[in-house]
Amino acid sequence: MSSSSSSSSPSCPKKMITLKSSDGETFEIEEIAALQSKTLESMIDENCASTPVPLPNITGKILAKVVEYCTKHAEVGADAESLRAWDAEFVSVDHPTLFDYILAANFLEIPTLLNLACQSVADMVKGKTPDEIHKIFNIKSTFTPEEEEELRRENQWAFD
Amino acid sequence: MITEGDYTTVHSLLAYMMARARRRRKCLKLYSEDAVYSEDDLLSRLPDDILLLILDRLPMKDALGTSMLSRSWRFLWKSMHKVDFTYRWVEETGNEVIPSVSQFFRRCRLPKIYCFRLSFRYNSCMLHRVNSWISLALKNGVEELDLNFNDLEDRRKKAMWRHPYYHFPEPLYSSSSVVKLGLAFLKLDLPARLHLKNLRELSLDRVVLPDDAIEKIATDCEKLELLSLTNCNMRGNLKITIQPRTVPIKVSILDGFMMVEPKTNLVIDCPTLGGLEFRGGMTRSNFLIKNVPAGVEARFNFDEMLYRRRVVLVTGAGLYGAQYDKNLQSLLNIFQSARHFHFCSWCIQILSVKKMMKQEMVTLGSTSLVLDTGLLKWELPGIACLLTACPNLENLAVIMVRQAMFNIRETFTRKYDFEEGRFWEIMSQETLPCWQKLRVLKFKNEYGDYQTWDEGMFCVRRFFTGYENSMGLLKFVHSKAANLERVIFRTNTKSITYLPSDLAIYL
Repeated sequence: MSSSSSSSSPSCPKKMITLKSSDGETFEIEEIAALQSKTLESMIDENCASTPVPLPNITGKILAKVVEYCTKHAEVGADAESLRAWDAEFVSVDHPTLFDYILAANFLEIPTLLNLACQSVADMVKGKTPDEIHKIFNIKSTFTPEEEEELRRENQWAFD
Repeated sequence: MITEGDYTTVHSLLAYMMARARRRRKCLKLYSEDAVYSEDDLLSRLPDDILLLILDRLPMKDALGTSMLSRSWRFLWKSMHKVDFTYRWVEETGNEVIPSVSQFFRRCRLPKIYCFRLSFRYNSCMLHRVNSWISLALKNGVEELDLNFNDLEDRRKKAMWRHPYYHFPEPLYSSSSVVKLGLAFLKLDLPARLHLKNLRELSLDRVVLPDDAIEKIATDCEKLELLSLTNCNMRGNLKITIQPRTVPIKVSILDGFMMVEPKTNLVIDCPTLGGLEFRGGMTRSNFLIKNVPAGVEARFNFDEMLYRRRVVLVTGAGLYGAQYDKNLQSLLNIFQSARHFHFCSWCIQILSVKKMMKQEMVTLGSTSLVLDTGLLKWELPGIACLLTACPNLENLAVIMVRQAMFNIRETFTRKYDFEEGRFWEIMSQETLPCWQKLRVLKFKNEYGDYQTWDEGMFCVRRFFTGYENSMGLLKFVHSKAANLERVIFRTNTKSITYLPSDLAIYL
């Protein structure tokens, strides 16, 4: 049947970093994968990363996925097309999870993940009317009728 | 158990992380201290700077439309980093670009602008306003600037086009923020000193360039690595002379078949060329290219040519449209030492004709070859010709594209006929084992019906449906390339890799 091509085995043991989520779970990540995060990169440079790195803003559930993302994107020889397909699957999640990815990527400064997740949200908003967007994201319009009238006048230049 | 020592380390680590977060942009909600969010509304609660990241990825109309969602969204758009008023704006809102941009700049908060794109039908009285906006964007650190002096609705005859002269506003001469610059539909009037020190990509579309323009730009903009020319110098020669430099440049040229005047030449002299790509038509009369270094990437995607059926005619007497034969031959000679070649189906078909007529083919040094082909009968000789011309191949990719043939008359097909089903078998008998270095063979099927499969259920035959000659090609390469390591089958959504030994059952 099929088998994937074998990559050459490492000549030295991979350096690992431990991350600790807000709910106390720990996750190991290869240093090379951690370099996707600018925050973790500077910590590695400044040698602060020898003990478990606490991430009080990120839950275990999300951190596990972020580690998965970084590990996948650090793979050598991963080609662009299959990576894109993998990315598309990665962000096919419910909204709360997607927003958590955005917040985590923002906090850890992972530009590729931040871009991917934000673009995903943008794609949901594109081409929709305000009413449709209200429904998709459970947004409540808090305008008074006077404010709505004012808004209509304000935006006339764009939406007459 | 946490000892005091642990606590200190954890504490200082935490302090470090928090200080970092504070040093970055503050995450606050600027306009919505008194905002009320519905319980399930997680989106609106995200920090403003994150919502702006989302707005920046929306078309302009949708981004501005978010002001109507709720109070917390009302003024967010004023801090957008991307200002994009192009054809799409006109199509979606029915409003003209220039008045809309005026209104926008009057109301926005003028934050850092990463990207400013503008397209409008040129009118000289608008220019000073446009330049003032460009200056504003430059002052705010714009990285991507796109300026197009025409609109999509231009139904004027091509002969009536008048490209306006564009004098760069002074701040643009020496911007250190611009990384990508796009200019369309104008006559380039360069200042004496142009120093865009961080410019990496330059795209010119229907721009009229003086002879020394490219040379000047490449010299003054040291980091330039990609130059894209679409329908430039439609009525005259296109000259790309670039002095040797530290950063190699990749050049991409699209000469539209109905756009560029055929009686013109393409002149290229670039000792530090990184790659050359052709798209569109092989329109110009002569390709005068010299000083091509070894190891470049050569992409010959003359994708328009198959849709111009009267252009090439093949009869028993040979190929009519002799300039195409001559030009393709000359390109192959010039790029003999290219490292990577990508050929479109049209080129493959021309080479098929030449091979059947027993014309000589130059040997190519490339280690990587990509073929766009429909694998039709009269493409097979061309494919065989290219394979045999590349003895140093390490990577071969066959991309199965939409099938189209140029005009081949019966007088040719009768004279040079061959048995399609046995083509690869006969090739196999005639060819010695070669391609000692070929490691990877890849087939890509973008258009077929068989795009995905269950785990362990991949079927090679189904993958090749519609491109039946692929099977023979696979067998042929498999038998001749002794050191083949893997064969990859890829669609738009999935991919599977085989060891050559595992494929033996199919072959």
